[in-house]
Amino acid sequence: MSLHSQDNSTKKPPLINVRHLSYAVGHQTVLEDLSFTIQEGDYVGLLGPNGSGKTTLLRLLLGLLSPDSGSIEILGQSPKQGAHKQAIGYVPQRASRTDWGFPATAAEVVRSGRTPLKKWWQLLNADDHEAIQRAMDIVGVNAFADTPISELSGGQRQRVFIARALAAEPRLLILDEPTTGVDIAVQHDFYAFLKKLNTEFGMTIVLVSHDIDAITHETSSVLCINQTLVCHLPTEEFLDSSHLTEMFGHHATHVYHDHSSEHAKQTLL
Amino acid sequence: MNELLSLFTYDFMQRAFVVGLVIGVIAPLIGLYVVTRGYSLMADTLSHVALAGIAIGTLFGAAPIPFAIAATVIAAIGIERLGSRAHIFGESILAIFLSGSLALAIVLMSVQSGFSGDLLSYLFGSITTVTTSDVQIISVLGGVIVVGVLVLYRQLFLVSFDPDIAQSQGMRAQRYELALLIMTAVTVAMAMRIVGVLLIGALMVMPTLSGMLLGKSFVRSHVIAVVCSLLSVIFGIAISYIAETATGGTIVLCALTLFILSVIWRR
Repeated sequence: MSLHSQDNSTKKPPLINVRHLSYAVGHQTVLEDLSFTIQEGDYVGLLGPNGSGKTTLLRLLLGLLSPDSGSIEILGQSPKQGAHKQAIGYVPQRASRTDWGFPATAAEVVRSGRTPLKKWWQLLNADDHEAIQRAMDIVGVNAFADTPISELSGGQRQRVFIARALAAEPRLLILDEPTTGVDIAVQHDFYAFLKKLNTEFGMTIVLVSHDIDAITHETSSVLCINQTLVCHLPTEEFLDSSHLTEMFGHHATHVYHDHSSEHAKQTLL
Repeated sequence: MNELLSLFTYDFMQRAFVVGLVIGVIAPLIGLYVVTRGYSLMADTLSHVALAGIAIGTLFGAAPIPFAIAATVIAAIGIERLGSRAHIFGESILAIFLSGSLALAIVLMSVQSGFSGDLLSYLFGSITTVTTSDVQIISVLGGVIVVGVLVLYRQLFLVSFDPDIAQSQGMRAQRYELALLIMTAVTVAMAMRIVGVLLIGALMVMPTLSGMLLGKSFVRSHVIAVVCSLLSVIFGIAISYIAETATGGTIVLCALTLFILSVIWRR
C-alpha cells in the first residue's frame, strides 16, 4: 500500500524551498532571512524556543500569510498558487481554535479533508471514498469512525486529524505540537506510527515540537530556527553540535544524555 | 379538535402556517452554522437591522419584507467587510450595527403616525398580518436557502469546523462565509414576520442546541434541529390559536421546552 506512486527521477525540485524569507508584524521581526530546503521523504524536526517564529513559519508555508520578502516554493510553486496547495497536509495543534463541542463524528471530519479538492458542485466520487477509506485504515480510526469527536481521547482525536490530512493525499505532513496533552504511553505509539508513515509509506513529515527528546529520537534531520536559521543538520550531527546548548541551555544536553530522566525533561520544558 | 381544524378555514392561518413551516425549516438549518461559528450575536444584530429596513420601507409605503431583506443583506456584507478591514475590536462592531439600526428604526417610526401598533407586531411577531406576497417571497427564498445549504453542505462544514484548513487548502473560505452570512441575513429578515425581532435568535439557536445535544453527527444534528423547530412552529401556532396567546412567544416557549427535554434525555 502506497500513498503515491514513486517517481524515481532524481532531478525533482525540493519539496519545500525557502529562500531568504523574512516576515514582520509591525516593527517586530518574526522571521529574518530564513533559508532551507526539505526533500521528499525527509522526516524533519522543526525545533525552536517559544517566540522563535515556528508558528509564523507554518502559516507562511500554508499560504495563510504572505512573506514580506524572500520566497517559498512548494514543488516549485508558491503556496498561494493553486495547483500545489493540497501538497501540504496540516495537523493543527489540538488547542487551536477548533471547538470540540462541534457536532461531528470522526468519519465526518476525515471526509472533510477531501472537500478542498472538489469544486462546490462536485460530489465525492469513488476515488474520493477510496482515499478517505485508505486514510482511515492507515491511521486506524475505523473503530471510532462514528463517535463524535467531542467524546474521543486526545490521542484518538489526533489520529482523526491526521487521517483528515491524509485523505487529501498530501506530499508532506506538518504536525504542530501533536502530542500536547496526549498520554505518555499513547505518545510512544503515536511516534511509532509517524515513523511507519515515513518509512513504509514514504510520507515526508515535518514535526514541530518543543519536545527536544521526541525530536532527537524520532526525526532524521533537525531544522532549528530562532527568527533565522540556527542550523539544519542530520539528527546525529545535531546532537553532537553545540546548537542544542546554545538554544536551550545546559539542561538540554542533560536530557539527551539521560533519556530515562523524565524529570529533567519536565524541568527543561 | 374541531376547533383546531377550524384553524385552517381562515386564509390568514393558512398563510401563517406556510410561512411558519418554511421558517421552521430554514432557521435551524442556518442556525447550526450560526451557533458553531459563534454568530448568535450576529443574528440578533441583523434582526434589529431588519426592523430599520421595515421602518424605511413603511416610510416609502412599500412592502416591508423586501426592505427588511435588503437591509439585512447589506448590513451583513458591511459587517463582514468592516470586520476584516477596520480595526474595530471583536464584537463591538455588531453592537454598533445593533444599536444604530434600532435607533434609526425608532426615529423613523416616531415620525410616522399610527406606526406604534405595527412596531409591536414587528418586535414580537404577528402571524395575522402575513400577506400573500409575503408567502410567495418567503417560500421562494426559503427554497433557495434549503438548496443552498444542501449543495454547499461540505464546504460550509469545513469552513465552520476549521476555516484555516479550508483557506490553506485553496478553498475561498471567505466566499463561503459570505454566502453563509447572506443566507443568515435573509433568514432573519423573513423569520421576523412570525416570531418578531426579539425572538429570532431564539428560533435559530434553541432547536439547533437540541440537535447538537442529541444528534452527535453533523448530519443528524441538522435533521434533529429541523424536526424540533418544525414541532415548535406547529405546536406554537396551534397552541397560540387555541389559548389566544402571542404566537412568536408560544413558538419559542415550545422550542425551549424541547430543548429542556433534550437536556434531560441526554442525561
